[in-house]
Amino acid sequence: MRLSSILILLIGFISQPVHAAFWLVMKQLDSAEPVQLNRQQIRQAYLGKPISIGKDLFCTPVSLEQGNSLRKQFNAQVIGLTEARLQSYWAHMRFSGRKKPPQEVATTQQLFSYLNTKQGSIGYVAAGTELPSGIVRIYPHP
Amino acid sequence: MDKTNAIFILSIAFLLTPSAFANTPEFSGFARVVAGQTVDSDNTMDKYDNELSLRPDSIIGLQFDYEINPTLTATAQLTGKIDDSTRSGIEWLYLTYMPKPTLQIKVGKLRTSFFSYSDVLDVGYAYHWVKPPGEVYASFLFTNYDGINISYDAIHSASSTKVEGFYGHFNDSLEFEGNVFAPDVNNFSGAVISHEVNQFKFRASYAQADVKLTDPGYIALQQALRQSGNLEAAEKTKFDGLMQYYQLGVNYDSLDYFVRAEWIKLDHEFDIIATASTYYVSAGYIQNQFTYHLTYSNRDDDVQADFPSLVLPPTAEAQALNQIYLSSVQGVIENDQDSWQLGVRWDFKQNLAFKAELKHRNHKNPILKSRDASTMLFALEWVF
Repeated sequence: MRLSSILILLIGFISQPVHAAFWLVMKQLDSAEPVQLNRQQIRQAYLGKPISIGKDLFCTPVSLEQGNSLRKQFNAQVIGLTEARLQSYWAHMRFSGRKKPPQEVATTQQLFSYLNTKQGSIGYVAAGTELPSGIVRIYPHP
Repeated sequence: MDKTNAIFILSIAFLLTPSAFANTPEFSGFARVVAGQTVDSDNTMDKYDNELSLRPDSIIGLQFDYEINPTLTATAQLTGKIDDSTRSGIEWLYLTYMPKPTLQIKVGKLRTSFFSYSDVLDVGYAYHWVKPPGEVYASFLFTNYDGINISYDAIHSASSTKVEGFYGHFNDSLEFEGNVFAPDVNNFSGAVISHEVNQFKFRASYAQADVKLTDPGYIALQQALRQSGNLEAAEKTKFDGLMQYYQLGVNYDSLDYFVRAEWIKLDHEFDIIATASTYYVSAGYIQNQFTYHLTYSNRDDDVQADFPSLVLPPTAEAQALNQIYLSSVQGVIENDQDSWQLGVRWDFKQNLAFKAELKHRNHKNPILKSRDASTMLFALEWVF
């Protein structure tokens, strides 16, 4: 088997969608096209990378506070880092002047309020959570 | 950075503020207390001896970020160290202009980014070691420069690429193997490209600079050699020319383990110091709040110089010159070495970590063999 085939298989294996315990949600945009992000893009957004979701619009990730069990699951399933490793990463980013960690909220209700006020912001809730009007699921794709 | 530049940057930041301090400044910081000593040896290693000391690596840093407007931010970072032989003061002072989220332009006093961790060497919380491998992260490399840094992020559906370029100069003292030098570093320029795909991160960088040593002792030696007609010896001990750095790095991070490796090559036009090729490989296993890690690092020097004997008259002054010359060139040897580091990091509380690390360094050059030593280091890391 050629090396490129092995690499494609390997990347394909790593990129397999997982059974998510969370939904990624955001305020519905006016544009006709629904926002669709894959797991890798969500990971990049939560590591501070500028992920475009429309013309001149980039994701603003929002996290639940440290210690929250859903946050731990999200970190493990999507970012692939423990909380301590993630904090170490953000110390590197902050004190080298590159970027700052996501805004944090304490509850899902606070998250919905934030999403309504900041266009392009995204956040995660437990899978199956009843979503208020205007908030839509963007991952896993409905 | 001289005072004029610092005042200039602060003035620009102030003038660009529509209403001074309309936004709230953000303060953050880091601190580390590092205690260490050599183990079973009278040799010193990384400034530690056989008595427990907090001096060389303990540090506190404060960072101030002020958003002037949505695209412009001013940042200052100040550090204070217990060890009075190392520099304290302003480490960073710059303006960041972000016309769009993918483009970042920084101007001011900046940290160099030769290596994966060179811009956060003071922030121990950001890495797993107590001390990054000295074979690679030698203090010989100047840590700051005055200039500009431009970075651009290209995001793809399954990966991302960051390209960074920088240009500037450095006119300050630096420490190398216990000696303090005062070089003029001009046309310092380079580029970094990093690519992330899934849990892998690849990094390559190149930097070059025109480096000229300006220490009075070195200038006097050069003049004396030329005036005495020893032009070849003067040329061989010249410290004025191009320095180049090449770096390759790879990281793999998973939920319960990581592997990191970095390779560096230092090349230059001088005979008076060695060229070097260095690398480390580090692996760690994460179990709950504990990270256990092992690192092997290696430094391979290359000295090309064949220093000529001086032709001098039999006077006392000439003999003194000969002594100074010999002591300079006899220090030019291949400082080949390798080391093992075994450590543990315990993230026992939010934003706090405790580390312990045992390191053994082995010199390969028979002349330096007696300098083999081990250290035991403990660190408390805090970010706030």
